[in-house]
Amino acid sequence: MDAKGVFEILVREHAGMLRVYLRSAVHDATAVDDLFQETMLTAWRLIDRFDSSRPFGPWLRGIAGKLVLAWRRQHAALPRLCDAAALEQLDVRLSDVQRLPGDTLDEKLDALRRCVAALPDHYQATLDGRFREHLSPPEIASRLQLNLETVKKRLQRARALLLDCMLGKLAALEGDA
Amino acid sequence: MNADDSPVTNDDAPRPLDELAGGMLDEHAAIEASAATSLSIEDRRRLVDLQWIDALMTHGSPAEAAAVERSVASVLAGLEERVKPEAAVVRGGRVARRRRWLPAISLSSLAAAAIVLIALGVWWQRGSQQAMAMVERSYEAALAPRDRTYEVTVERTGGAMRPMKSTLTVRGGDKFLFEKRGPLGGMYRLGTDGQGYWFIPPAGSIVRAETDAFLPAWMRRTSTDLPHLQVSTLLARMRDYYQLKRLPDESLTADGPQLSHLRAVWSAGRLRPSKHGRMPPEEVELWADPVTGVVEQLVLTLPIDAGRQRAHTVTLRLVEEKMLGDEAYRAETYAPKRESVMAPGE
Repeated sequence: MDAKGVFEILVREHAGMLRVYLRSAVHDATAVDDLFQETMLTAWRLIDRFDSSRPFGPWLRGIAGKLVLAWRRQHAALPRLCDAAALEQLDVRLSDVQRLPGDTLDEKLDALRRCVAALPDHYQATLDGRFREHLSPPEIASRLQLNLETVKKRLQRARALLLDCMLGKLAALEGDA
Repeated sequence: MNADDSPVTNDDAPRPLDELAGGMLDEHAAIEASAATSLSIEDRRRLVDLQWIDALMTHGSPAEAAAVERSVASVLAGLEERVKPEAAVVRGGRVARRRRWLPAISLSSLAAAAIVLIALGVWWQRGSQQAMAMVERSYEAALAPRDRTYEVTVERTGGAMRPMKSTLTVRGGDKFLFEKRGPLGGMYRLGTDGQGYWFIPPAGSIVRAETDAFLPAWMRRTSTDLPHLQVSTLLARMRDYYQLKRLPDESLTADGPQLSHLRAVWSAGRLRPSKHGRMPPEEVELWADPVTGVVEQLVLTLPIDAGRQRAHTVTLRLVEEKMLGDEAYRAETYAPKRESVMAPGE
């Protein structure tokens, strides 16, 4: 296998995790696409600096973080916190996700799916509209015949419950280690 | 009816911070810098965690799965374009093999393959092509509309005189502001807003010109005869007239980041002064951020002049990167009450 072939595998292996990292910090989908491409091509260019005794994901996120900060400097107020401290925290969170059981990100996110499944049905229906069907809060309100404020509160509450659930699972993992 | 279908006053009510997060994540409401800085550390951490949860949830959607595939395909296409020329060189002209599409592999084989990758990467990426790519990257970064301030240190031959300090602020390829304090404390400034050039001595009128022909004379009045006042211009010259050699990465401070490092040696025949009488550097050393390409330091070695009066070594070191208004590059900002005169012959 040639070097590029190996790098292709690394790209595929880490694509999902890198996009989650970028999406956590950057709301704009086009910017996420651009930053993803720039990160991967920069990684290819700098691959001789990668210490193979260390994991590839955090190294990749280190490159992405610098590019995100450069992108952030060119934009005024944005609907995300994405300063250096935020990026460092996101890096830690994704390293935690990496430790969840499963070979692929999809398998590791079984933990999140279990958290969603544990939510009351009305929260699940709201999340479904938001994340599966990409509906806006007014569209979800119309679909579920609810008032807009109720939908907003359900989304906020559901997200908070999912956070508590995931942090609990990660803490349990820490305890098992 | 569910609890949150009515006004929420119980323990299940969203916290104010979760409402802020909802506004950002569900309605794309921007968070103002002042609001962000007024948050406690705990609140900031929770907000970032909620962003993380939102991104994890988004990852599970069919649309995002398609976006991941598109992103990967786009990167692989980019790799294809970048690898072919280098592969042709290192393999003596043989055409690179077609890309192989591989299924997921075990971690152990991935690790073994990564070691092969590192070895090949080191082999491939040495040499002048890599140095040229580094200069290109720095050139692109220098053209970006960012304001970067460099501390300029000029040393003369033999070090008999004290090194002189000044600052050079540049934006893109068309704006600069050079500032130097004179021996009696007055400030010399010269710059351009991209339209015209100007010089402000410590006292007297602002001198203006439409071309850069007067820059050498103005620079001499500051006792700082820099060969270039645009970092982008120097990088373009390095690319076109210098032989480039990549040096080992280096940090400029004890605990600073590793920077890309190269040396450029004049390779366009005998050194001759430009039409404006400025000698180009014989040698330039460049340190740049390996990811962004932003120039962190430049050291210019100039030929020793017969009178040993001119600069021999000039060091530009990045001290600040910020956003300035356009007025920072206009003469009237610094001398609002002074009259302007055109340079002789203008």
